[in-house]
Parts: sequence; C-alpha cells; structure tokens
Amino acid sequence: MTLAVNEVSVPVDFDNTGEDIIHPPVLMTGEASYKRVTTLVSRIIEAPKAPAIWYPCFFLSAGLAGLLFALIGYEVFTGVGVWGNNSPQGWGFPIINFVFWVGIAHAGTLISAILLLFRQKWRTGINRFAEATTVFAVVCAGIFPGIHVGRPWFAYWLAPYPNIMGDWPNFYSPLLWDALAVGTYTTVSVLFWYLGMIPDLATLRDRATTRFRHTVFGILSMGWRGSARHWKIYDRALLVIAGLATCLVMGVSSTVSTDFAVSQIPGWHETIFPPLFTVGAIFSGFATILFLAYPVRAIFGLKSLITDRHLDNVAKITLFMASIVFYIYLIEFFTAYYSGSTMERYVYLNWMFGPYWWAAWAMLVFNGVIPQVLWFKKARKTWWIAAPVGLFCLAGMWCERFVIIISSITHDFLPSSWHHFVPTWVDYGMLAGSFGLFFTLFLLFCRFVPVVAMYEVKSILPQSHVHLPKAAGEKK
Amino acid sequence: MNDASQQIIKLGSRDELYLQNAGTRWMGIFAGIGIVALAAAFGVGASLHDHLRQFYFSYLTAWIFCFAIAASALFFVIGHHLFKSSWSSVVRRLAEGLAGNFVPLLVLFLPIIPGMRQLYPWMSRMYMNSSPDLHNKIGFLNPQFFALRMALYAAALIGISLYMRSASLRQDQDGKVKRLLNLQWHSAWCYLTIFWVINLVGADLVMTLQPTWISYIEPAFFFAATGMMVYAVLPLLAMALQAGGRLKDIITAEHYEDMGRWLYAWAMFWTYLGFAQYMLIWYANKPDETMNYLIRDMGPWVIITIVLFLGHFIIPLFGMLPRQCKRVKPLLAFWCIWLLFFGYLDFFERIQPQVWSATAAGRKAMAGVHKFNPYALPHSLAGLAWMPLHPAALLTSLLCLVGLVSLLLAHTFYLLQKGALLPIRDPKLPESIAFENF
Amino acid sequence: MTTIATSSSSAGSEHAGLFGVLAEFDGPQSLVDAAANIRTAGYRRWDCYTPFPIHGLDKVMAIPRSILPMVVAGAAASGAIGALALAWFCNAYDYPMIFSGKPYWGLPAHTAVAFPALVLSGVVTSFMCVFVFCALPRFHHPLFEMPQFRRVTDDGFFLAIEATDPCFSPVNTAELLRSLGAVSVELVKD
Repeated sequence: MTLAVNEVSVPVDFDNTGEDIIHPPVLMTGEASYKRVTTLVSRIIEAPKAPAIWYPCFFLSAGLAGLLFALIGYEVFTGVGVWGNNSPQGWGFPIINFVFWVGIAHAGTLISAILLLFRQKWRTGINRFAEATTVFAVVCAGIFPGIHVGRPWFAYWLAPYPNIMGDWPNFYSPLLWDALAVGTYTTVSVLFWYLGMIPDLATLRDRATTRFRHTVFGILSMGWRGSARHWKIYDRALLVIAGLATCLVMGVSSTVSTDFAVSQIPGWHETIFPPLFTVGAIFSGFATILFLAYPVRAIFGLKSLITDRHLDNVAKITLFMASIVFYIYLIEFFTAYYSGSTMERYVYLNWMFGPYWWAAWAMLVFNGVIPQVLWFKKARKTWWIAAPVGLFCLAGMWCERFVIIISSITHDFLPSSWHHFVPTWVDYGMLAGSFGLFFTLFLLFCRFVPVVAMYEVKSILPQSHVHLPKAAGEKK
Repeated sequence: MNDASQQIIKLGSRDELYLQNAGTRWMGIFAGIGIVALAAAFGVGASLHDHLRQFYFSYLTAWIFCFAIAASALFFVIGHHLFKSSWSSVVRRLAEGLAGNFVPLLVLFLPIIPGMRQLYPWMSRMYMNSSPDLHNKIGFLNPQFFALRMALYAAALIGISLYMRSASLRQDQDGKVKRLLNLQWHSAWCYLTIFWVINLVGADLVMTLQPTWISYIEPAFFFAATGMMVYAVLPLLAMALQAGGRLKDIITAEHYEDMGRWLYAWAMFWTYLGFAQYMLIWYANKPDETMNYLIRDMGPWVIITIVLFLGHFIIPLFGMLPRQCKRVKPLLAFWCIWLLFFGYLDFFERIQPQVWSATAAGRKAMAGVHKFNPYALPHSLAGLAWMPLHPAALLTSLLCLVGLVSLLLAHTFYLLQKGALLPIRDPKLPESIAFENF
Repeated sequence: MTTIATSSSSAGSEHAGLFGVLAEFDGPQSLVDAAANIRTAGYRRWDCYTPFPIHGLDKVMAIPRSILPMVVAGAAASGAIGALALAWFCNAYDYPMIFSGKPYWGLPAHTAVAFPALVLSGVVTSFMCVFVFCALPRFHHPLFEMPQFRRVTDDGFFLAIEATDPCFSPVNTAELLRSLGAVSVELVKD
C-alpha cells in the first residue's frame, strides 16, 4: 500500500501539526518540488545582501565577541585574579560556562545522529543548523578551560609528549579526560558537519554564476557528482559516524561530569551525574534549537522547510528531556534524604535555602516547571510562548551548573573553609562575550552556508519514494 | 476505513492470525509446569532449614525477573504509541499480552509478604535504630508506607496495562482510528508514570535490601536492566508462534533486526549506567558506597561479577555486531537467550549476595558501615557469602525461576488466545508489514 | 558534447575520445525503472547520478555492501587499545606513580581515555574512507562538461554508461536508453 502522492502542493501556512495515522505527515509546505527546495535555501547565500535585520544583529554579536577577546587579553596579562575565583571556589564562572556550552553543543549531534538512527524523517529540516550550533558551542566551550588553566601558553602540557623532565600526564585525572573528550568532540562534530554538507556545497558550485564562487564551492565540494555508488558509501559512512557520535555524546557529557563526581564532596559525588549531564546537555541543546529556529525561519523565509511540525516535535522533545531532568532532580533530593547522612542532606538544604537559593529555585522552576506548558499544543504552536520557554530552559541549565559548581564546594565538610563566591565584572563580561561569539559565528553561518540540508529534504519528499521494479514481485 | 478493511484479506487465514486451541493447550502445559516447579522450589527451600530464607530470596529474584519482562513490555507498548512507531505494529499485540501480566504478578507477590522480615532488614525497628543514618530514614523505610507505595505502583501498572490492551482489542472490533489517536494522546503521561514506577520498584524492592547503601543512579540502573527484557522475549515469542504456523509472512527479518538492534542498545545502555556507578564508587572509595561492591567481591561472587561484565557487555558488544546476528532467526534466538540469562544473573547479583546479611550475624556486621571490611570478617561470617551458591540453593533459585516464568507464560497465552495475534485493523499495519531497514 | 545524429557513425570500435553516454530522466521512478533494465541488459560500467540518495536504487543497481564498517571497526579498536597502551606506558611503566591510591593502570579510569580515542579513530577513518572509496576529490570529470549535468545537484536524474563497458555501443546504447524513456540522450567526450 502506498499513500504517497506524486504532486504535493499545500498552502505555505498549512497547519501540519495535526495527527493523522493513515497519511504520512506533510514535512514541507507550499509547492514540494526539488527545484523549490534548492531555490529556497540557495537564494540566502546567493543574495547580494543579507536581510536588513541581519546587520544590527551581527554587529552587536561581533561587538560582544570583541569584548570576550579583550577580556581574555586582560585576563592573560593580569592573571586569574581578575575573576571571582578564590579558595575553595577555584572553578567559578569559567567552568560553569564551559559545562553550559558543552551542553548546548550536544543538540546538533543528537538531532543528526540519534534521530537518524531512529529514522525520524523530520530531522532533515533542522539538522544542518543544529549541527552548526554544535560546532559553535564547542568553540565557546573550548575557550574557557583553555584560559582557566591560568597560563594558557602551557596548555600543551596536557599532551603526552617526551620531555626533558621525563614525566607524563596523569591519566587518572578527569581534567585530562576532559581535554581528550572535548578535543574529540570538536573534531567529530566538524567532520560530521562538513561531510554532511558536501552535496549541498556541490549544489552551490553548480549554481555559481561567478568564477570565484565556482572555484570556492568547487574546492569545498570535493568534486561531488551525486553518483549512486558514491551515495551508497556516503550513506554508510554517515550512519557509522552517527552511531559513533551517539556514543560520543554520552561519553563527552559523562566525562565532564567526572570532573565533579569522582571527588568525595557531597553534591559532587553522585553516581547519577554522568546521565544527568548527558540528559541536561541534550535538554539545553534542544532548548537552543527551539529558541533559534523561530527567528531563523522568519528572517530567511524558510517557513515551508522548517514547518510548524518540526518545531512542534522539537518542543515535544524539549518537554520530554525536561521531564527526565526533573526526574533526576527529584531522585537527587530523594536519595539525599534516603541516605540518612547529615552531610548529603545538608547539601540539598543549602542549595534551596543557602546563600545561592535563587540559583537552585531558578533551576527547578526554569527546567522543571516552566517547560511543562509545552504539554499544551497551543503553547507549542505559539512562537511567543515556545521560544521564550527555550530561553528559560537555557537560563535554568546555566543555573543548574552554577548550583552544582558553586553551592557544593563553597559549603563542604569543614565550616571553617566555607567562603562566599562573588563574581566580578570580568566574569559577567566573559559570559556575555561568549554569547556574542556564538551568535557571530551563527549569523555568519546563516549567511554563507546552506542553513537547511537540501539533499536530505529532497530525499523525504513524497515523489522521492520509488517502487522497486524487482522487489514488487517479492513483496506482497 | 477502506484501507484497513482491505488489508485484512491480505493478512492470511484465520489459522495464522489466532492461537485458537493451541493457546489453551500451552496455557495448561505452562500452568502445570509452573505449579509443580513452585511446589518443588518450596520443598527444596524448606529442606535447607534456614527458615525459608533462601527460598524467599530465590523467589524474589525470580519475581523481579518476571516483573521486568512484563514492565518492559508495557514500556515498549506505550513507547510504540508515544513515538508513533510503525515497524513495531506487527509485534504490538504480543507485547500487550506480555504486559497484561500485572494482576497475576500481584497475586504472586503475596508469598513474599510473610518473608518480608527475612528479606528486608528495615522491617525491624531495632535494626533501624542501630545507627543514626538508619534512624534518619525511618520515615521512608517502614512497613506502612511501603505497603502504600506498593499499592500505588500496582494501581498504576494494572490500570495502564489494562487500558493499553483493551483499547487495542476494541480497535480490532470496530476499527476506529480514533482509538489509536487516544492511545497516542494518553501515551505521554503513561510513559512518564511507568518510567517512574519501574525506577521506584527498583528502589523499593532491590535497593532497600541493603538499607545502609545508597547510590543515586541505582533506580535508573534497575530501569536499564528491566527495559532490555522485552526485546529478548519478544523475538523468542514471535519465533515460537511462527514455528507453530502463526504470523508466518507478517514478522520478517526486518522486524527481527530492529528488535535485535534494540536488544543490543539496551544491553549497552545497561553497561553505561552500570559502569558510571561502578567507576565513580571505585574512584571516590567511600566506605558506605564501596560496601555494595565489597560484598560482591567476597569469595565466589567476584567470579560472577566478572562473568556478568563479560556476558552482558563485552561478548554481545562484538558478538551481536554483525547484521546477520539480528536477522537470522537461530542466531538472534541464541542472543536473546544469552541476554535473558545474563539479565537474570544481573538480578541474581543484585539480590542474592544479601542472603548472608539477612542472618543475625550479617546484619550486625552491616550496621556498622564505616567499620565494615569484608576481608577482615571472621571466616565463619565470610563463608555465609557462599550460601546462595550451594547446589540446593541454586536449585531453589532455578525452580522458582522456572515456576514463575511458566505461570507468566501461561497467563500470557491465556491473554493471547483471546484475540488476534496482531492488531488487525491498525491502519499502520500495512506500513509495518512492508517495513524495510536501511 | 555531440548529439547522436552527428556522431553515431564516426565513433570507432575503441570509442576513442569518448567517455560514454549520458541520459537524463524526468524523476526518481523512471530512473530506477531504467536502471533495472540497464542491469538486466548486462552492462557493468555504468552509474546513476542523483541529487539525493534514492532509497532502493542501490538494490536495483546491485551495488555491493561497502566494507567501510569493517575498516572503521578495526580502526576504532586499535584506537582504544592504543590509548590504553599509552596510559600504561606513561603511568605504569616509564614513570610509575601512584595517584589517589589507585593501581598504576586501572581499567575503570582508563576507559575514559580509551573511549574518546576509539570514537576519534573511528570517525576520522570513516571520513577518510568516504574519499578513498569514492576516489574523491576529483575536480575534473567528463560529465562536468555537460551543461545539463549541472542540474544533478538540483533536480536532474541521470544515468551514464561508460564507453569502457564491453556492451557499449554509441548507437545501440543510446537507443536503448531512449527506449527506456530518457528525456535526453547525449554522448560525452572524454
């Protein structure tokens, strides 16, 4: 039985969020032809000028990114004292930001890899720019541990190289694992992103009207010519990388969580930290997509490719992840109570009612309560509800990292070593600057790289579904 | 409805879609085996003269194993609706049958109740007052609250599984697509509820066997061990039915491959959570946590621990990787039985080392967690670790397992023969039958 | 870039200077149908060119399964073993040192080193394999000289039979393709 129709043309504003068991969902509105997919995406890059709103956004972001690099310069020349970090809180904002950005970095891999493994066709509309957020978030994340080491010019000491002192790095150290995991993740996400882009770069090459464009995209697309034999290898490789990247997503967040969890500090040493960090990462990644997708499709006119159904699904997954995050929070509180240990219990009371109470409550409300409005279809379909919810989730996840990193260590076993952590203006400036860097890269990406994976969208259009001449006899 | 009704013709004859008399026959056979095996288990358990201590532990292990099969089947059915899967429509009815076992499981839980004082140290108020940390959690670990929680879990499991099955059967009758849409709509909250319930059952029935031990991940780890079971049982059930001439052309290598992939994924997920727990406890080395692993490092248990790690992770990791292992029926059957065995061994390893701590001397040693050192225990006390591994004790465990699993299967066949073996008027069925993997 | 009418008689038995024949089809379904016929006709050196991977075309063309997963598995395993060996060499052999009361070489901790190494070598190998197995990058290809072939990355569906194929004949092959419903059939210069 086939229900695929050959020519689909539904209005651009068609509501495709409804549930219909019999018919496959409409994943592209408007005239669903190959040509239109190519045109819709390529014209963004081929237009001589970006949409008007792009320029103020870009200059604002670039300004903030400039601030980040200025502050890094200030920090490098002055020393780590410019931050609020002090004993016992030696980690402070840089590590909060690191964990935060690493978390966001997981959406792209997840959407591309896990949804690919789960055969979720709707991922094609959003995977490309989700992967882009991955790459840019990893860039932001990588900066912070780099400058946090204090003397970044000695960062190469992390590498196991034969040296005059005859010693080697400590392979038991979670910080070394971090460097390995984040380095691997950066490489993998860039390769995955680039490999997935090659056919689309070939599209731009073939559409190029100037010699310059033709040369640039020609080199970038590696001479791709759409051969069926190549597609077979290419698909296999993407599937294999997706499998490995899915494992890597879990591995990277879990590794980041060991920075805390291998210690003995109550509030840090929790065996659920690896899955908590993984789930939290996925959650913040999807929240980012939920937040970014609305402006992207509005500014670049992609409403027929990134349809309401895509965003509805993203919102549902955000809600799903929020529910698991909330589950883990509740299990944390329960287990702390259940331990019967004064130390464990104190940590959670201190979270909720101690000096940083606002962060803990923000974490619970923003991550656990506010996303629950997404249970309602009306909320998922309304941009001015869904997008802010995504923003709340991001704020909540930042607060979660604040709670974990700051609250636990500033109140450990020995009251005499308790110390209040106060961030400085440099801390806040760098946090804002990292957002600037992220958005600068993201805006450049939107302007110069195909925002939607054209060939993948084409492959899921109804007319791309073929009946196999030979198999027709075998199948009933 | 035109599409759906047309498909019924293609599905095959009535003999291929219904169990008919064979269902009753298998039900009788399994019920017979189950009752005999349980009676024998009781007999062997009683002959150990340990106040039935070993029998209760063996019975609890087998009960948890059966619970895991039913609960994971329920989770699978709800997940099918929640994620609007299409490939799994052909095995949905079988999973619904497995998931319909919560009423018999509730009845089969009753024999555990007289053994609660043997199984759970926290039933004794004196024990709970023996250390401040234990005293602090009397509010949670007391018989009344425990009974209330169990009642809530049972209500949720029975209610949701009944709804999932009956709505699906009614859809067979009237063919209303609306019923499936309702199932999809309700699946979201059902999914969360069942997720919580499985976690909490793990915390309540398994983690509290050693009330002094805590691990934040243990409920989720129990969930990971549970969730795998359905993917090991479903292919075996489908193969058995196909051998009996049912669903012959309906369940194909493509469906087996998907079930095999999920089995593989859950086995790896189990490893992920188990490794997270082990590595962090090993690294931080806190006495109240390492206790759990030290007990499993005593005497013969270290061998079981290593065998479990190899059999549940390393060997399937490579062994199940080739595509044919999930597509060729005998190969997949081998891996299903393999992982069912190691799934049982996992529950065995979680529950039965506590047999020794259920003795008076063991309890005394366990209460002083911070002084607990299994390597410094007197020989007589450490020797208790062997108890569940004596041949008679192992026989008790085996008989309990055979008995409870047979009763579970008897009831499953009872449910399966009541309707068609697949949701015949599910509009997704054609897509599911024609399904092909990439 | 000559049409059949002008070149059919001039091409010799060697088909010198000829890459093959390029046919365009109007959609995925007609391409798949044509591919099935070309395969039955006994051609060996031919290929389809599409804007996206068509599910099932590989079966119709009988493209063998790629050995890529095997190569990647090997690379991933050696990456993991290499990392474990490195940790052993550094911390247990060359400069033994006790960290937090642990053994010199401990699998639970060193898994965290082996795992990223496994993924990294696996992914980099898959990436390289794509280019090695596809013989890319290749910036010049006879097909790129055909103006209509620019649409292969947009909405064009092509089938090309190479002149090196034993069954190839500029006239008959083109005729066969035309009979299979090709929108256009043209010879491609090498």
